[in-house]
Amino acid sequence: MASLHSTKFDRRTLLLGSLALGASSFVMTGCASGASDTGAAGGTVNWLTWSDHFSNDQLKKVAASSKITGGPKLFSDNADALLQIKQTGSQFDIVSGDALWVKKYRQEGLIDPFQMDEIAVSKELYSAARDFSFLKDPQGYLGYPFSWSSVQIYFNPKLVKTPPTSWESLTDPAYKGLIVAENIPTDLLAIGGIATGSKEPYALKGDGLSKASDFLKALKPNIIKLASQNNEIISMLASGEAAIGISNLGTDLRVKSAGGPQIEAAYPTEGTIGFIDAEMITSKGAHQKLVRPFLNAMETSEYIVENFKTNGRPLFNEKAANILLNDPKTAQDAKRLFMGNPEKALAMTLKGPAENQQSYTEAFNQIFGA
Amino acid sequence: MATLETATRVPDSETRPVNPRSGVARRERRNWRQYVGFTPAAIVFGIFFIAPLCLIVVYSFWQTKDYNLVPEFTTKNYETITTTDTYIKTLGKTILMALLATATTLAIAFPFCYWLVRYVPPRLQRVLFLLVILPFWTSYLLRVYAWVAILGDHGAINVLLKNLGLTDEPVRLFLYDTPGVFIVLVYLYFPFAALTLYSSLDRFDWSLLRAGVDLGASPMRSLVTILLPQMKLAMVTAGIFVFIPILGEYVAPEIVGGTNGVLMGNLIANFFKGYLLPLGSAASVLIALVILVLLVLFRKGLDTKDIYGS
Repeated sequence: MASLHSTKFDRRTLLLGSLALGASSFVMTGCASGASDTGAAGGTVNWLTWSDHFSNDQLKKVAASSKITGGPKLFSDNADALLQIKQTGSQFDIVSGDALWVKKYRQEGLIDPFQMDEIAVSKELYSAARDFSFLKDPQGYLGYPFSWSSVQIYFNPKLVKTPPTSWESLTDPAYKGLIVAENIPTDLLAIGGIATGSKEPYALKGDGLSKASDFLKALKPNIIKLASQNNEIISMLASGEAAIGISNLGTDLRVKSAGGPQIEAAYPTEGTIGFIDAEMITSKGAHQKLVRPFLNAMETSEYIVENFKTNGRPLFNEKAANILLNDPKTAQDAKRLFMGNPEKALAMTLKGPAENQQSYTEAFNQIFGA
Repeated sequence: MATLETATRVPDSETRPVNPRSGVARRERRNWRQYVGFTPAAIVFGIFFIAPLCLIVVYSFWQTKDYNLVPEFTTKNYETITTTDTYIKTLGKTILMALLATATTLAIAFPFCYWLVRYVPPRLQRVLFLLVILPFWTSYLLRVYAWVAILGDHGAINVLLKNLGLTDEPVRLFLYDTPGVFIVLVYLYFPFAALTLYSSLDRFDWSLLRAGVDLGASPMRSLVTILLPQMKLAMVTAGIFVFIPILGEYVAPEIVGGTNGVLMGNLIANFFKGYLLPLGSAASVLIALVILVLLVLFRKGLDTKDIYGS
């Protein structure tokens, strides 16, 4: 038997061997990536979204029933998602976006309009949700409405002696190192705008932007961490690492189901921002044929009910709302979290792109830099 | 005269047609062929390193208007980064953090490797060294998150302090602050330094130290005058392996740094997230320039003539 030491490799053999190895791994990688789209009727839909728009269990069930596998990739900031869609072209088929961002995607030519009737399950939506003007244009619908929430303050009463009541109150030095918020520069500055009296928090300029920046500077020592995803806020509130969270409706339920303490909500006296999010169909997606059947499978009331139970913020599926409101186990939470009141979604300052994104990002970086 | 004749003679290969079967032709073919092996690396580096780098440099001179990249030349991005107090401070903090973490990593890795090579039996050496490189087998993210579990309110240190009766409430030690980032960076990059130093120390001729002592030098003097100069190359290489990645670190400060532990990488990420590609690119190019300057300074340390004195 020839030992390794007695085996001789000349340069030619080694080079040819390396080339063969490299070529075979390249081909195999290609086969692996292509394999997702070679199923008889199915394939993979690539989806740029938030973690609360799906569950792994739901994706498995949908894949089993429709032969379409959802391939989610997470993002936190709408601006970040817009950038990814612009740069990746055909790689994503669906992208999630908040309220006024949907129009921005359309202006940039990144999404295609669709007819709501093409997605049969849309019959389960509240009629109010089908009428949101920012989700429509003359060619059809721009986004399939999914969920909504205002952004408010949640606090752990055992760790916070004086409950916060307003955005301004969060700058109290007593809250030093106790607050966790999501790392979304535009929205945090918009909150700063609302805290300092602006009526147009996504169009801050000059003095308004300075005031919002000053608010965030005062808030900075109290923020322990800027979380990259909302579920990080939940885990920090659940573990007690943070005592106050700036977060969406239903955070209290999610903290509790994560084994955390009872936390309470405070609706800021100055008002707040909020989102109405939707699923959009990208115009260059490589698997567009699969998008409508995929959404049809994903958005059924069965899964929306489960989504509410897990994430605890209102969704626009009326059939699911009725199931939840009529079930004694879930009725109280569904009512408290406005599952039956989609019209309330329009009472908030809706999230959207900043008129001057450069000023917002620069102001944010100057506050949170060294 | 024979010398002059030889000097002015035109080489045969330039006057006569080259016989394809001649030794010269074979040598030339071989010379050309020896670069074929370089082609895969050149393609990979060209596509995944040189091209993106060029793109970043080009972007750094462009502008963004309403979420669109506009190819209009400007130097304003560089002006913004180099004249804004926060950016200068953050860049300075990042360089200082990289220097301190590199120095600390080397200061821990060198004695460890010295002890390993000098005093540990070879069989045990391999086991211990395996423990050093073991973290490489796990995910980078997992290694960083492990520190949240160690330093966190309910982490190992707080549990220990509570069980020892030293504290009643969790003590926030380092986590979500600059010291936390420092500790995690030293931990993450220790294996890079250890691998480099170990391979060098392993090949060191220890009889030289004994010779030094025989000639009257103290053990410490032998170490300083014989061992350390020969380790210079390894130290510089280890330093580069640790220092350069730390300058671009983004994930560790994001996870364990909180709002106080922000480094330049985090600001660059915010620029990119906010679609300010030119500003983010300018900041990235400046970091690359810092690295380039330091590499030029280190180049002397990489010159083997310095080590062997010839």
